[in-house]
Amino acid sequence: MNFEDELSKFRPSLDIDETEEAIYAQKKEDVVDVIQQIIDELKVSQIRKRK
Amino acid sequence: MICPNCNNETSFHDERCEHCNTDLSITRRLVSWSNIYYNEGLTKARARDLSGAIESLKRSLKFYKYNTEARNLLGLIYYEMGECTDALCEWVISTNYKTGRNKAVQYVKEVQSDATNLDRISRNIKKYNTSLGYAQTGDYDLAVIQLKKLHSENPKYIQAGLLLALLYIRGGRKEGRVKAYKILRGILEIDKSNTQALTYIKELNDVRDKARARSRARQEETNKVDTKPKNTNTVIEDESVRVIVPYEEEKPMVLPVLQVLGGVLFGILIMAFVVQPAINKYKSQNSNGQFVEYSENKAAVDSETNSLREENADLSKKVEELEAEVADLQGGNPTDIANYKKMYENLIEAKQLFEEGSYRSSAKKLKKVDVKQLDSKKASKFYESFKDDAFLKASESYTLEGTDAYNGVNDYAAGHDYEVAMNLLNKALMFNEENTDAMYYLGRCYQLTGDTEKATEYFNTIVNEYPEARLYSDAASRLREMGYQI
Repeated sequence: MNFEDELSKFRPSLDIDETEEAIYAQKKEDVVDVIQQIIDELKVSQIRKRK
Repeated sequence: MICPNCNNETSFHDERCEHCNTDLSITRRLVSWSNIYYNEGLTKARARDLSGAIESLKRSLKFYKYNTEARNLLGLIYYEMGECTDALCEWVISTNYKTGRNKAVQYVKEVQSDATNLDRISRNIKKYNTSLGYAQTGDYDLAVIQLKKLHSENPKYIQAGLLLALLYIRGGRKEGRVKAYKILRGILEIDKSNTQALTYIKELNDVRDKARARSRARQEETNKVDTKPKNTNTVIEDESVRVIVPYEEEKPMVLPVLQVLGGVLFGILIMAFVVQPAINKYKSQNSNGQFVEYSENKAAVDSETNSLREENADLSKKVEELEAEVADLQGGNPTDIANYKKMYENLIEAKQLFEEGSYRSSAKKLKKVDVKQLDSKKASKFYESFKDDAFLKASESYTLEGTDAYNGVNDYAAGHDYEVAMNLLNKALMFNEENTDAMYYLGRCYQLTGDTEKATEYFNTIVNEYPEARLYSDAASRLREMGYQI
């Protein structure tokens, strides 16, 4: 076991004051959002084709 | 369930949104997948496999971010492991998505209402971060001093325990290794499958063997039963029976000591069999109370997924109706629509396989998707977001197995199999044309099977186009072997 490699795996913990920043930094998109956006773009392109 | 189109609350059993009439079949499928991963996470959490539970719950939220049960459980697990800020993040997001009848509201209140507790949490985090800083700059003794105190006050703060154990192991002293072993055992009781703890405890096999030998010796000691037969004579006198014990010389020094030891042993037995189980029961009731509540919710989710399976046949009919609608909108022929649908299914399945770590299968599915036919910019972006990673990892996986077949090791321990190696390495290059390791070993396979022309081609490609390649000098020496001047 390499000590330096293992030590590099440790990251500082977030402080309580940094909760707000951490929440805003989180990704808000899930697969449902992605699929819905794909469907919306398809609808728009189909309407354009009909015109 | 939240309708993805109008963001209104709608029932999971509705086929269409009651507010905007959007078809909910795909959303229901994704919510079901989210629930399946949530159930998996809950089972793992109940079995104390917290690391595994975190992975499952994160996947659940990737499919459906509004799964508040999964998010609340994830927060609880983070809190149990001492990561209070991460726990608060999850609970706050959960309260934003669902305000009414949400346990997360209560959790956040409990944590934030006690100012002393918040202060303690913040101090612990700062202590841990300072200790980590000391360790990273080489002040190991200072780091150990801080972490010892932190760990004794918060034995459930897993990251602090792991760092302390690592520093003890690095120290190399016997007593340090014993302390590290105890800390890691404690961590594994909280989180059975914590990878770091399992890795570190492997380094302490000698300590583990000694502990087992000591425990076996103690077991043998308690199994010994000391029996002494007593001689008795009975004398019958006036219908009464009197037992006369023959005279034995008194051992003055032994008997009082034995009596004291007997009393102590009796007290220990009372503690072990009466008091301790009561304490353990109280503790387990407290710590498992939350999981019992989740098991009630799990039963509700189970029945939802079962009803979805029963409705599977209806879904196929719905898909046919949808296809007809799309055909009507597009004015195109049904074969095009079926191909279109298949392509999107391949894309979604590829993403799921990628998330599960099946990179080869994910890459093969992605190969079937023609990115030029993806009309939507979002679909193309979705494809591009993981395609490079999937192809790279699939290529690495094929290269690893190919070199095993070339070297005749692991699954190919029976002997070198150059045919199989060439097949695997070609697949590696199919997913990553710049995989110089695959090129080198492919060249070697051709060289060893007598096809020097093809071998030269691969070695020349490495030497001429990839001077920074890891196996550049090996490729150059192979060319010199074959008579070329480099």
